[in-house]
Amino acid sequence: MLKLMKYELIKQRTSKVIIGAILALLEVVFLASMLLGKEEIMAIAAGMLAFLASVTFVIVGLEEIITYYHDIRDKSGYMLFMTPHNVYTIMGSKILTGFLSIVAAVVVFGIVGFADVTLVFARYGELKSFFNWMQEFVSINWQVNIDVGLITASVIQTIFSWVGMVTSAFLAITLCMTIFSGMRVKGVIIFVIYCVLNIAFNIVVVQVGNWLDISTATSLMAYMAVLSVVFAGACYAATGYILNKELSL
Amino acid sequence: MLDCVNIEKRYGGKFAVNGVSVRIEDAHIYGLLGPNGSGKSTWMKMAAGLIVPDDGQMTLDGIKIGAETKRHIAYMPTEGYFYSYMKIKDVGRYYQDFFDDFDAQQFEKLIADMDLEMNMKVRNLSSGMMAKLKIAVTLSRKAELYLLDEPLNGIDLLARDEVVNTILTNMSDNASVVISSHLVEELERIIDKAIFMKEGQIVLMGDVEEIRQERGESVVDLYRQIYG
Amino acid sequence: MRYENDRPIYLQVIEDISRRLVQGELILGEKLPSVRELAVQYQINPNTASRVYKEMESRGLCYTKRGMGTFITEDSGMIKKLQSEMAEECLDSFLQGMKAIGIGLDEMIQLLREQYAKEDL
Repeated sequence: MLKLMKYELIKQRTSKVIIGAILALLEVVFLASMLLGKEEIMAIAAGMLAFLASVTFVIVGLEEIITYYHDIRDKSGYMLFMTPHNVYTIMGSKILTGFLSIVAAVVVFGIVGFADVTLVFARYGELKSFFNWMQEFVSINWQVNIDVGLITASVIQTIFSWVGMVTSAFLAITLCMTIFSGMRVKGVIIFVIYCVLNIAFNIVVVQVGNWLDISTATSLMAYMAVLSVVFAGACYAATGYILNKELSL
Repeated sequence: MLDCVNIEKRYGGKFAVNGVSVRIEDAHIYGLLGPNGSGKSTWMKMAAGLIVPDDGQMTLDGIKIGAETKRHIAYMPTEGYFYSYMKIKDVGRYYQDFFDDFDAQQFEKLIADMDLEMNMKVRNLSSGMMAKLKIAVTLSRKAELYLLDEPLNGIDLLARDEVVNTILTNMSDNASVVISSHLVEELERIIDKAIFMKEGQIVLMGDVEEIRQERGESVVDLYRQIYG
Repeated sequence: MRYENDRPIYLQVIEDISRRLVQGELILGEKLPSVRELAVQYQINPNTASRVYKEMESRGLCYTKRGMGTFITEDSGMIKKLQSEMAEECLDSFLQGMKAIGIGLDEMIQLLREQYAKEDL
């Protein structure tokens, strides 16, 4: 399993390298401009860092998905499926690699973000008071406490929902390349299956959510995280099952 | 020993492999012969676990084809299949990581014998070099069963003898080898059993020296008779 | 070595080994290569190679000592026998060829003497 993960990481290094490089660059610009008092540039850099953080999920996810697509479609797929592992282990290694990559990204961006915010608050005291005021405002008006608990739960929820989206993409690709392999316009079919899976999932989330009557924002995040894990698990199991029955390189 | 009972594989409505039953025994070199589309590659990929049959059973020493059998089967596809980001030494490393029966020293020796270098990039290899790399990496495994799909393709006339010798000298003792090839004449002296496939089925199978003794024919002659 | 692929290869290898024996390239009692080595040397399938030794052994051309390998016979009479067998084959094809072009025995002998002198054997 570890060996599989090693090579998955190597195959998917491009996105990580590029994001890392841009992150480093933006951070340098941010810090430098703060030191030099160039507030406009600092704000732009900060905005771009935030944007980069959100885009990271998409880029890493896309690389996961595209890599799998190549493994199923191209001759290089022999390299992967020839190894003495069953399909569950192979797919599992992909999901684990992606999960760990995203967690690493969250940690890195989290540390950088936290450090940057702390620095900004230290230097610009009025921003800190503004933030505190906003926290109270949200708390009074919407009964949502923006605290560490909520942020943690949201982050965890985002990570697992990402895993859900990637595994459903795996399933969509697998379905298209095996059972629907005779059809043309495979890209469209993959996209359609993907949408169907995720829409169905979201419907289930809403319905079950109503039935459970969730009160706090934090527990909502927790609930969605759990459901995402279940969804990802189901997609993973289905993908493995189909590959075992229908794999045809 | 690879045992195959009534293996079938369909694509769309057509049979690529249509009821193949065969036993591949230890310590023999089989020639899997037939024109394009006769089902040779599909059969091989099923033995290698890369295609799941629609019907029938395939076992290696009694174990169903799957993750465990891949440990003991060395499959070499017709096409180039290495990750293009790799160098030759990375390919060796990959095989070493996944296959316990991979002999890294033998790999080094074969690469040198074939005039290749460890630092060459896969994406820069000519088709002839790619063909040699495939052989080198496959035969560096001490496998129980070797499945070689068109190993002589893309290899020039002079190098073919070298490749045939490499197969003879480097396969593990008691291993079975199944070689599929269009170049029937080149295989004549190396195979001892011939399997002829046509339209997804085995039409004839026999001991090659017996064919010569009883029919007074070469494998090429027999091939012409069957497919001509 | 070039093979005729419509005749059993193991027989052709035996012919070659016999030729080398008669020509003195191989000597009586000499150790022969292992089956594996023979296969590589003649570039043939290992099973064919073991068939070679099996057949040679049944003809009395070689013998196997357990754990030590296969050896050429020590019987010099065997060489003589091989030689006359090979001679008989050459003669046979010579006679057939001559018959086919209609040359009788006396003329055959005379042509043979003349050709022999010319070829400086």
